[in-house]
Amino acid sequence: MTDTEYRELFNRSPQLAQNILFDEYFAYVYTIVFSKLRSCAPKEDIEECVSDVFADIFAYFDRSSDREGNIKGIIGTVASRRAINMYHSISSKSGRTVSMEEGAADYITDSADLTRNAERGELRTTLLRLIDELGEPDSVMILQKYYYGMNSREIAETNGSKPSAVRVRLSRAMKKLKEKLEALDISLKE
Amino acid sequence: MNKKKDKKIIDFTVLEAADTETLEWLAEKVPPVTDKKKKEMLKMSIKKQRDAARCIHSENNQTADEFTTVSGVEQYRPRRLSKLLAAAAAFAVVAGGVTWGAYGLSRWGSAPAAEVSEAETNHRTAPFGDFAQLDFKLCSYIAAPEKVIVIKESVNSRAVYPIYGSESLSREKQEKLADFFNNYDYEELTMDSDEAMHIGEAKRVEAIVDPSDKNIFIGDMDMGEPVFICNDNNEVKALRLYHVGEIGVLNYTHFRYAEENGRYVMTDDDITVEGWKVDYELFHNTINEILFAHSVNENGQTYGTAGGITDLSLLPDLIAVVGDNGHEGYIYREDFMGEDPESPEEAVAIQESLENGTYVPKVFNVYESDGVTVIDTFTESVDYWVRNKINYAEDSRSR
Repeated sequence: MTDTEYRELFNRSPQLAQNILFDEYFAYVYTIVFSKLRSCAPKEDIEECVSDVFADIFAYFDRSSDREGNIKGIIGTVASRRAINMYHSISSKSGRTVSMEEGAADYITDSADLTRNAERGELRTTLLRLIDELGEPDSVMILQKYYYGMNSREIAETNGSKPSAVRVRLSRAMKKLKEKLEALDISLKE
Repeated sequence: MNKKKDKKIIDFTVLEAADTETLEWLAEKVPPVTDKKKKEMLKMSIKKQRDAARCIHSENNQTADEFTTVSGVEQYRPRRLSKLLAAAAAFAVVAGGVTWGAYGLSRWGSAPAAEVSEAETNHRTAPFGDFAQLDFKLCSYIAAPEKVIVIKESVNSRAVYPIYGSESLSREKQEKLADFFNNYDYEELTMDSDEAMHIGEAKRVEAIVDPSDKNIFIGDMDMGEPVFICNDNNEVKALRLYHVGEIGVLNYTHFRYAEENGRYVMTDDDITVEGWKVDYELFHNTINEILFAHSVNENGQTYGTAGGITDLSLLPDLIAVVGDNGHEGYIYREDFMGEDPESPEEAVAIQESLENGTYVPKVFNVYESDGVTVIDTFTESVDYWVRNKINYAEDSRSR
């Protein structure tokens, strides 16, 4: 969706414009927020943060009729900042401190070691490549289960299958993934 | 340095704090939550924005409209019957919908014989459209309504339309229902508006409009009738069978709604309602059989999924599984259930063998639905059972 399209839609029906905007960017915002808060916040807080992001975005577009820049960029920035703010809030309560520099995702991790970050980046790329090689729906289900923490009933809801079928597929897909990783001398903990 | 020492150990935290490209890839590929959760977050976002706007612009505060929030049962508590019926009289179209049907039903109470539309009877597509092409889901009344649509500017200013949760239909069921709906000869109904005032339907009318009153709702409504609903992008289509007097009526309701000041609203003019006279027994039996009964093969054996069945006596003879080589088929119920240990000692021995890894998984044949043709094997997976227990625990926690 472009800024112009959104503006036209908003002039016709603000509610509809909000619904479509939400639908189009929900996964993007959730992924950004989840990526930063997965290790430190419960799901309820992550959902709260995602809602805060969209409330901010709706308010921003509501009051600003002369906007510039692409919508996705704006949304990504708002999502990042909101997530970082929440991370700071959680960290301050737990006594941890982090850099205040916004937008630098790696500061959210617990290490500034460049070598370690580079290695982590390689492992991430490898893991995602091997997951992708499993093909759909196995690749999607693996990420839903082990990264996003969805249970089999929720996964089944998203792909229109049965929880029992999801469990069977996941079990087999995970076995395959581990074998692929083992071949590269990488052991995967669930 | 030996190989073992070089081995890397990772887990899924490696995906956290990823670069933008990875995040975009994930966002595009993986739905991170269910549709239901997503809708909840949309609702929460809009509410947060509205609340923030109210704080900023206090002069535009609350309008004292009692329907500003729509989440509570008390927001759509009983209406006076006289107002309901007045609204019914003002409602220009034929029949009612899931809840809006109150108005239509009040008319059907003493409805005369229906008029037959030749155009409709010759169609091989149902008059409301092809069920297979519409994303209908099966409405569930187990939980409270997900949304309550307030009908603005209605003769009855408190008219509402509650929307309940729903579950997806399998493609097979959807096609069977479509085949049935598309090939029936419908009779179009017409109603005299005076019928709206038929007092005999009073309790029924009130029950439909006020589902919070369970006694009336269950007692007077045919709750055994499934309701199909499609609620997408603020557009609702609902299909339901009613038993009215001596006739059956298939009702189709269609409307769009908007969000306004934190509530869902529509007007009478937004609603299209149509009804067709049908053979009630035929529709009732066919729909329920397609939705809830197991299929039967030529040998008289039932086959289907075990999903959702909590009473084991209701399991089909042949239970759907995905075989070791990916073929979808069935295993016999006896295989699925396994044999009970004959003694506590045997049960302990099995448990121990599972825990110490000496258990030998069983392998079963996977059959076509005929229960004879073998198409694959199904190996009992120890990991599966262990994981299964974990997942069941997760599932029950999340309910």
